[in-house]
Amino acid sequence: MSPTTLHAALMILVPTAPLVVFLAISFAQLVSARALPEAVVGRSVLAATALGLVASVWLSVEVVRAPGHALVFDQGPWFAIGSYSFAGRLTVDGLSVVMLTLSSLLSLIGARFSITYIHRDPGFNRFFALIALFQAGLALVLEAGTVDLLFVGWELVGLTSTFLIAYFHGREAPLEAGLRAFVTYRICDIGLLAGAVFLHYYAHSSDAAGAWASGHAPMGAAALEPHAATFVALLFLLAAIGKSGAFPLGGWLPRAMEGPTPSSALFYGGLSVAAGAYLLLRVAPLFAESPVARWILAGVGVATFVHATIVGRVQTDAKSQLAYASATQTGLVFVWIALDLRWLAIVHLFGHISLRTYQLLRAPTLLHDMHRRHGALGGEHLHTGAHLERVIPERARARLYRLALSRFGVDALIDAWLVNPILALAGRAERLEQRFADHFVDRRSHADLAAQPELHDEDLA
Amino acid sequence: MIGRALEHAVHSLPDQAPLEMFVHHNTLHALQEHAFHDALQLAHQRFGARVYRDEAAFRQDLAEGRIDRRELERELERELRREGLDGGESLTPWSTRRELYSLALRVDLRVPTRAALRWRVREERFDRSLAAMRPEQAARTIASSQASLREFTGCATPVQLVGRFLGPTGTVDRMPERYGIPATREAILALLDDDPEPLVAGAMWQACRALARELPLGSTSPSDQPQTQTPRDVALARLGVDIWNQLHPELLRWAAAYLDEGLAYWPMPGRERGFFVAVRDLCAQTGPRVVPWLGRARRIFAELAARDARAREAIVEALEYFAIPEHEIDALLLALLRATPGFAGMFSRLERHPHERSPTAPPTSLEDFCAVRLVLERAAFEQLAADHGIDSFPALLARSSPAEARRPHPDAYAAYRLFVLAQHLGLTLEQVDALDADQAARLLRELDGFDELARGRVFLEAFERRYRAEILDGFCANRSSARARSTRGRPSIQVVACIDDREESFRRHIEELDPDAETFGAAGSFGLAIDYRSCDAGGHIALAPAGVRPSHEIVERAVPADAALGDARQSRRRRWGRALHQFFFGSRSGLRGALASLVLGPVAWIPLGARVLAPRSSMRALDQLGTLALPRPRTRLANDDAGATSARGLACGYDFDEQVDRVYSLVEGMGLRERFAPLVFLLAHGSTSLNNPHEAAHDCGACGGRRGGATARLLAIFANDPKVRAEVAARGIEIPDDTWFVAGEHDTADDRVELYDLDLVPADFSDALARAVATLDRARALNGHERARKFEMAALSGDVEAGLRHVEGRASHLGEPRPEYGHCTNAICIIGPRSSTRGLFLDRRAFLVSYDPTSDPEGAVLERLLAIAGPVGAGINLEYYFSIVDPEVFGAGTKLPHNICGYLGVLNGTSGDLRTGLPLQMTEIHEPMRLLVIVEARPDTLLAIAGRQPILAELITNGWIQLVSVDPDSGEMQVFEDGRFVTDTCGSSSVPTAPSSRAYYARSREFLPPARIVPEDGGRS
Repeated sequence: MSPTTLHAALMILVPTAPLVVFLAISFAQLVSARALPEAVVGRSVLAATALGLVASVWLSVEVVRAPGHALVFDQGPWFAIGSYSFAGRLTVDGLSVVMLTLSSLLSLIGARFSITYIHRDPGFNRFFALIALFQAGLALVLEAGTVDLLFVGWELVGLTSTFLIAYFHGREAPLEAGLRAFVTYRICDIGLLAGAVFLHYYAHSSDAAGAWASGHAPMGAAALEPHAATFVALLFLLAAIGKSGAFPLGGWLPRAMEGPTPSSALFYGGLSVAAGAYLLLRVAPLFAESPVARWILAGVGVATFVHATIVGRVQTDAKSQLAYASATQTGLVFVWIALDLRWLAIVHLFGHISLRTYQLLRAPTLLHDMHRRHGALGGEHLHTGAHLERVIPERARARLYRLALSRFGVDALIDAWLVNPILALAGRAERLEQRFADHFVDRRSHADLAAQPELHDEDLA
Repeated sequence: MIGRALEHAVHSLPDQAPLEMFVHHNTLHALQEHAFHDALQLAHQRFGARVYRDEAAFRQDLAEGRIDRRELERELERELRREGLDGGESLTPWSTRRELYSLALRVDLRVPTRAALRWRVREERFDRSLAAMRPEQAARTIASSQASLREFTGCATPVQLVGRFLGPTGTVDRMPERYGIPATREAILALLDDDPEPLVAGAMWQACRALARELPLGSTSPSDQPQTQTPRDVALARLGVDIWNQLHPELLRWAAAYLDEGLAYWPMPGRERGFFVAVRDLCAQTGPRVVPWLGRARRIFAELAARDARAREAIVEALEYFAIPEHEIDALLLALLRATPGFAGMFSRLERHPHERSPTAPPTSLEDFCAVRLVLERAAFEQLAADHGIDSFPALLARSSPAEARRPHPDAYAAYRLFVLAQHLGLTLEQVDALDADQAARLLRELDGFDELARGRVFLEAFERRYRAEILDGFCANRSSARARSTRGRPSIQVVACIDDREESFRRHIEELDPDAETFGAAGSFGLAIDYRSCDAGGHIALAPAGVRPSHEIVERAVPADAALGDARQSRRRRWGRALHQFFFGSRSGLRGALASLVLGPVAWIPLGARVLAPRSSMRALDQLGTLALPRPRTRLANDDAGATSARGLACGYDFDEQVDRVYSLVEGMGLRERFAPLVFLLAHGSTSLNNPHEAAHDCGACGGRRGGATARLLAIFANDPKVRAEVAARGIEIPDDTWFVAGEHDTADDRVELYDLDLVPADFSDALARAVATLDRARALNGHERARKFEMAALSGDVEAGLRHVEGRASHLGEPRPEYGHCTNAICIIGPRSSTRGLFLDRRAFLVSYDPTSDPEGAVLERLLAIAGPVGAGINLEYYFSIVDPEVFGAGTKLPHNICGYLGVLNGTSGDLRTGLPLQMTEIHEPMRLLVIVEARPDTLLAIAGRQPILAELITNGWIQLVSVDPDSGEMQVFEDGRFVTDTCGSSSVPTAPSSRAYYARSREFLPPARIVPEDGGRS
């Protein structure tokens, strides 16, 4: 096998292996009444992940050996409409391999952790199928050579994230949290979709080579007009804000901890929320072109950082604390990207993801760890909150605490200004439509069936 | 008034301490004054909880023989007697009440939900066959009905045909859809000849449906309606808005912030003034302005703050606002507090047990919690009222409620059950036709009367009876063969372990390995109650049974020779602790967090990967690293018997008389009066596990949910003191000079045994010690292997080392939510000499308390033992019982989304209330039943003890435990049942034997009945 075809095979393997496992598990669940045994499901996901890890490491070695060159698997234009062409292209460059290796490694650890952790839970197979799908989606995001392909992976990541937040569908809180994340994703993904469309419009393609990259990622430069770059960059920023839980749309992030611990660790400790930062790094050349977009990005980053760090300090439960810690660092990474410090952003992102995943996987052990720490300290009580007391005057402190505890009411604000008006509008529209439709439909019999969960005699006759 | 209401409320709130000092207790402790089954009924009504195991599980047991058919009938008879019903009374010409009830036990005759009925009709087509009927009966019914239907069809009008085969609401055009034939006489007659079953079944089902429409409809569950209507309930019923959806997150956020023990970096300001005042002042300042109801709350709090009003005032004012009549206050406050049982319970628990918190923690009071709750309740209600244009709560109350109680559907309520009943009773179509409305109504009323709780009672009693018979048979057989064995010479070693059910197998394996070894069971605090501080601890911990406050303080110190090493270790540990502390908060903060991400983050995957992918080896490596970096000095427990008082106002150790006393009562209590082995091991126990917020629940219950090592160690020091021995000898028990006590701690998670003060063991004992250590080491491996069979993930192999590795791996695994199964499967407590149970395989289900009845004619020793073993055992057993029968109400649900909050408890995810009780992963293989306490003592001795110990009396007479008295001389067994002892026969079935425990449990994960372990080499043990 020539090196090029080997690379191509490996690049295809990384997202395909988990995807195949996902399809196999789901299909088996659909056709057979008996659930697949845990051992089969767990091991196949583990195997696919291990395969992905080996492939990623191999690809990284290749990228390191030939610096300055990206590995490209190009199926040529997938299809073209007029002068717009859609390429089927996978690209692996410095940025990809760093994230790809990390994500495979953490997925492997997370999957191994889950085999014992989720053991005997009725949703075991569902959990592992979703984890496999997530890996496929994330690998696609990381390897995508065009924004169109990236969008596909992006949606898979969002979808699995939603389902895993709502994993315990017997209770209400996880469902609400899942819905909130889902809606946030949906709104923000408009940004990515529109970004891709406008990229096609301005650059006639959405792949790296055509759109912006003259130079090796992450150090490329864009070739768009400044105003176009600003516009497209801001659309991508919207997508990144939703995925990363950045200010002001980060309300879903702490709520997302309703799922099982390992999925919380994989998604919100790092990998899934980092996808937002990854997108920004991918399109960093666009931001480099546009001072306006950079200012706005910096503003979002700083706001996320300040909000999350203050709110995180008053959280009293392990997972919320880590969710805000995660958001804090994501905010900083945004700032680095705005400052065009791309390598710093990559290193920071890498470190932040692996540290946060570690901490989240250790969250159930927190009480044990606290005892050890307390024992090592010999009972010495170390005061916390001292530097807040130095910085903030006493009167303002109480007010700040109160506001921090209610998370500065950001969600309430969004509800009041955005969600409620939209819902009200939708309600009015629905009533209007209903009145209109009533003219054509005999509502009586229809309403009877819908309104009462009665057992109908004719059902049983 | 309000004080009293809150006092009442305390009894209905969970009484669980912070997780780090988790001690098992009866979940329904507050209802213990009622008889067991009555208390369960009350709990069902009050909390809407399940209180018996699922009936399907019981029926499964019935099918597998774990419930005996005849015993079930006997328990049914008892139930009928209890209820004062006549079992022989005929309800219909063809069934008595006894037959009907018995059928209701065996067959699911519950009213189906509408969706379920629809499914059964449409998808399963259960009304087109007589599947529930026994085949030969079905054939008879079909044959006789075929003839009558033929006759009927021959002369019926089309309307009559429709009525017969399509029921009261049928139409002609549905005939083909149902039976695949047109609604003509010829077609029906042809089908009757061809395949009559659908028509017969259909006709029977339609007859039931026609009958159902003539019946009054009973309500299915009258007790499910909550008695008290809180303002929220009223608003929810009238306006369809649930104010608790917004109120609870706010309230619980404040409560968590207030109680937090240092998880948050920024503690809540002003906590020292109490919950209410702190929240009042903080809320009065500011708040998110866009939330209208919080704006109202702020105004109320500001107004209260302006006149410095306290909690009581706020409660009174809120109650006035809602215009609650005085007699309803009690119930209302209870209902409101019960809405968030976790936090309300924690406030109340910490108020009553302030020592369970760090000394710097702020004061806690349930009244404060209640006041904040009521102010928020009022604010939310005011806002709701304003939105809906309502003046006041009474005005809303006066509005009529749109939602009326939904009546059951006649098909679900009556027709379905009649149809199933008719099949099980083997009725023919004519008999069903002959049933009149009164008879049918009476049948259904009877079925309603024999409700799920009553069936649960009967099932549980029958299940317990079968289990009891098995255990008593085994016990009986073993005991009588033990009588035949003569006392041997001096034992090689004696091991005293905790009475804990998890030590049963460990002791058994020691005895199997070394037939000359003897083991004893004594409560793991060994009669001591100390406030203990080890070298490596962060503070003092109380090692004492729940409810006992220690009056002695014991400190561990490095020996003088190692003082320098100790100091070095100490200071290194301090530095390490500070670094950990900095890292913990720093990594979660902003800029230091960035630094941590940049410097440590890039390598954080290395420890994570190692810990998750190779848990056991990485744990070992870490331990070795720890030993290298922090060498351990030799230490001693400092017992200053000079009567000095410590800074905490406790005695700095036991004085001489107390030492003698403790040693004497321990050996006397166990019946160890003579024949001391050269080495006597005192093994306390504890449990180390990761990924387990409930870690303390696996520690020693007799030591207040802590690791018990220090108590064993201290008692060994006393017992090795020649002066103490001399005084003990003067009291009548002579401990020879060539006996040495060695203390240790058994880790029940990874089965490690750590021995203390081995450097003090005289040289004469070194050979014996080496042999004993080897025995203990092998026994721990066997114990680990036996434990592994209960874990689904462990392979069922005969490889002992693999089993041990499996359990060791569990204890060191970050992702293992079941480090051990703890007390899961506990069911028995046996108080008597070990000779009666030695060699009996009890499957790790028995608390074993050593007791010698021959030297205790008055029952004084027994009283002491029972007073600890009874409540502790019952507490453990009942907590497991309730946590598994209703994992959501009484238990903590599945562990997977658990999230530690404030170091106090766990939440589900990041929202909601603290979860109390045991998580599902701890209880999942438990079989809920009451503890079977078998005591070698005469009934009159037991009754006399119960007369002196009110707690025991309550447990026994109210049936929270099952008590069996075994006559020490004759071996006659009497069971305490319905208020008196009744003779129980044993030996009805043969008891299996096996050459070794390992051979008996090999390749099985299931529960195993008791077996006698008879070694093949002549049965020395």
